[in-house]
Amino acid sequence: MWRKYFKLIKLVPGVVVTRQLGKIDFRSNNLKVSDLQRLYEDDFPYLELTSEGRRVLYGIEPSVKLSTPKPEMPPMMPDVSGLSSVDYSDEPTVAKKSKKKNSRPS
Amino acid sequence: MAIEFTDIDKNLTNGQNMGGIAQKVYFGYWDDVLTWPTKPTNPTTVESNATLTGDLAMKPGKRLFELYLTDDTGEFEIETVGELDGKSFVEHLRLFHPGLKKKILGFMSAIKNENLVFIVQDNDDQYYLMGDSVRPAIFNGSPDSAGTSRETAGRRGMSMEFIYKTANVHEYDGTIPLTEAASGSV
Repeated sequence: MWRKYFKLIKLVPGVVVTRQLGKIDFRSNNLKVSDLQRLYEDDFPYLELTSEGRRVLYGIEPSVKLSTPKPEMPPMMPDVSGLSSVDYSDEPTVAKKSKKKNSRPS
Repeated sequence: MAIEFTDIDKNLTNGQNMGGIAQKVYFGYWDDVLTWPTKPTNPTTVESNATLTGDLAMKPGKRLFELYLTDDTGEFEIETVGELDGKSFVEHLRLFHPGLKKKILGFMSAIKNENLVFIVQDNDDQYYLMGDSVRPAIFNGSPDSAGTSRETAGRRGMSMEFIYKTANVHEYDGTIPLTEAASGSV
């Protein structure tokens, strides 16, 4: 239950002696949230709040990320600076697939 | 700025002042300590002059341990030493651990020339840290003998004394990690 609101940091889960509450075994699932909250508020160095803990215990809602609309880009203008006069009299330059026919000697 | 004096009355919370120390002390290798609590710098009150700030933290994979002591055999003594204008303190931890099992024999062999750290809890729930970033606690012998005792009504075991030399005396308000520091905690 407590793990919904707090995360043990910097230590492998185990026993820590605290001034406020004596020995606490962080391997247990049954630690009182109120006890841990008291430790947290006393700057206990091995607990940090989860987002759920911030929300439920302190009313701090998670910050909402706004999706920023993509700016409209002007249409890309072709770069014509390198082009000289172009002769369009040739056949269209569409690649023709040439089928290789199985040629059999007559 | 000089430390401001204040009236010092009897100052016993709930009238409590029981002697002796708890039946366990906490110990570890001095080299295994990652960070030490901070000694007061420019304290302005007598109380802040006796307060360490922060927690003792261990290196990744390291922790502190418990040592049992027989009731009424443990003592934390603050001895004043030094010449005029050169006064400082030596903190003494004395205790008796019963029995001569391999664990305590091996412990004594391991720590006899080692640099150590101790945290001592007294019976008024105050804690004292023996060791700092510059100076460790060290083994200082067996003041009340160590061995089988002579009489059958005697007591087998190890008397131990540890000392820590310090410029000032402080109370430790931080945590005592009896579990390993996680890797990446540096």
